[in-house]
Amino acid sequence: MRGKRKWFVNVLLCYLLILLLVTFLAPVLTPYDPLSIGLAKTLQPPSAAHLFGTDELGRDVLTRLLYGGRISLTVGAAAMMMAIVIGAGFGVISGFLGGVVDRIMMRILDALLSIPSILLMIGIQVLIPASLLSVVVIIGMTSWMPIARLIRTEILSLKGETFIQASVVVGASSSQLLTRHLLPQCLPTIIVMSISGVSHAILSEATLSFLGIGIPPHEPSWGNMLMGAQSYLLSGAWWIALFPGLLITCTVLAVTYLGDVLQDRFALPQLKKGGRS
Amino acid sequence: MTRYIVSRLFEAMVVLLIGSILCFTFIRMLPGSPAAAMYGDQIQKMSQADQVRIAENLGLNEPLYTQYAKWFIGVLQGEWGRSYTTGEEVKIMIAHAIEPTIILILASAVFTVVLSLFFGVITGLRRYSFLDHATTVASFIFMSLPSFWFALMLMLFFSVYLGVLPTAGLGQEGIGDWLKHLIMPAFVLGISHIGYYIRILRNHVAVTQEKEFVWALRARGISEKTILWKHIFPNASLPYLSFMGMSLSLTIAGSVVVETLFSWPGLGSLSLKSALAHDYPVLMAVILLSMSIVILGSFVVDLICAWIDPRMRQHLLKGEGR
Repeated sequence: MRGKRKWFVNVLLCYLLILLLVTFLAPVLTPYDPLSIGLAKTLQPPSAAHLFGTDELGRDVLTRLLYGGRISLTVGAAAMMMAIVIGAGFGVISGFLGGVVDRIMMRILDALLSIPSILLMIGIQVLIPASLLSVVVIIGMTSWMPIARLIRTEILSLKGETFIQASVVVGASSSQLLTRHLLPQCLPTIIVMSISGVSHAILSEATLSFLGIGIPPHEPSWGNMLMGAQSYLLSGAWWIALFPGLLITCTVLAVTYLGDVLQDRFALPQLKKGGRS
Repeated sequence: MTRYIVSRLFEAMVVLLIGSILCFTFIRMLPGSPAAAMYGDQIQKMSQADQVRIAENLGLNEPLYTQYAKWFIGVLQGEWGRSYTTGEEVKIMIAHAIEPTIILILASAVFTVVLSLFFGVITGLRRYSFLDHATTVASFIFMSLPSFWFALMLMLFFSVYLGVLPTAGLGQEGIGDWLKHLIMPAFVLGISHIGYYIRILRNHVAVTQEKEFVWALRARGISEKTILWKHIFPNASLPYLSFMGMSLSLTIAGSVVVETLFSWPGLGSLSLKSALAHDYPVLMAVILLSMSIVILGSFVVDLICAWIDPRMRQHLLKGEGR
């Protein structure tokens, strides 16, 4: 069991590494331009010249996938970092201050969590014009809540530990307590949450862009490549939809699984949405 | 129990209040003033005095908290305004859209419950069997699939290649047609979080199975069937139920995508359409309504859990928060 898992983890790590490499080396690897339109060769099925076929504007699907990977992965990482910063900040303040402040902050969290995430995203999207940055902000602002709740619980339980009480007794200031003792203890949780945050952000970007409220269609991302795919799919051009989706699934799967393995390694209790265990 | 209900109800009210304040703040952040929204371009042509008068009539000079109170009372009385694009009353638009959404969510719940009960219990009883490994792999895949892409692939297979299922709209011609239209969207919506359900059930069945009281029951010669359904299952069903309450918000979020894909005329596709058309009153109403449904749903689920398991009541009453 153990050995099998290790082998699988290595495969996934290699996959992610290769993915990073090929997306960032895209200009060297592919002879095509992801943006140039070729109306003479629209909707061509996969062939030797175009391994994954061409889309409705004659652009090479594989090339766009590689360039799109840059955007999707960047959005994933950036949105995750934003969510971690907001979530950890909120959770630490709430758990550290405790009392009335904690209760009010937790009810605010409950209220935000009761708005279905996509509706919240749609709502915020109305306020800021669509761009790469806005997608990062939208995903970051709508996915920090579970992190905040988890960090708060962690801080609450840490506050009861003897070593924290001992530091209080010897006169440690609040900022010393936070930066030297409490936050470092939360690090494993933050690492695991940030990994599952990346997969969540990649999926969210794909969904938003697919719905037409994410990355603007000109520049490719894994999500917006699927945007127009529905109508072409129904007329038989399966390659436009198949490959971006497969790539999203594989990447998210790899990241999710690695997060799960790390969670076991750190021996953390149930994380995320209260569901995974 | 009464004390629990009252304190839990109070908590739900506070959350609803905070949520409505957030929504109100949000409305105020939207581009354009309420007066401009009402009169459109004409507002520019009006005299200064007229503009002041309109602002006064709309109550825009009053302090924010009075404005909020008036708005909130209006919302409670069903004054949800009119759509910017069609001029139709938002109330009526919502009333039309809510039924298809409820049908879709209930149908998807059937898929979720049936499949997750079956696989969750079996894999919990037979851990590390072939079926267990296969289910774990499948769960991971379903957790990682973008649900809209999964829907596209189903369409490709069932509608394009086999040509047996329609891809859009509600079925109008009899029950068979209706079911045909319902099955794909409901399956996609139901399957998107099934991995979590299966794993929760599997782990709790597996853990409960090893508990001492179960060994005691076995020692007394009680049949495995009775032990499973009368003793193991009720214990494992609690976390399952409370996850159901929590995932209501995920399901509604999922319905936005699924309804848009399958042109299902429900709340989800209405919300996206209104967002793209900058039709704020409609969007706001859908957000407020979904939020209330989620809060109400988790309230009901908590009550059921507390009714089944008295220990859950103590947790809240001790005031630990959650």
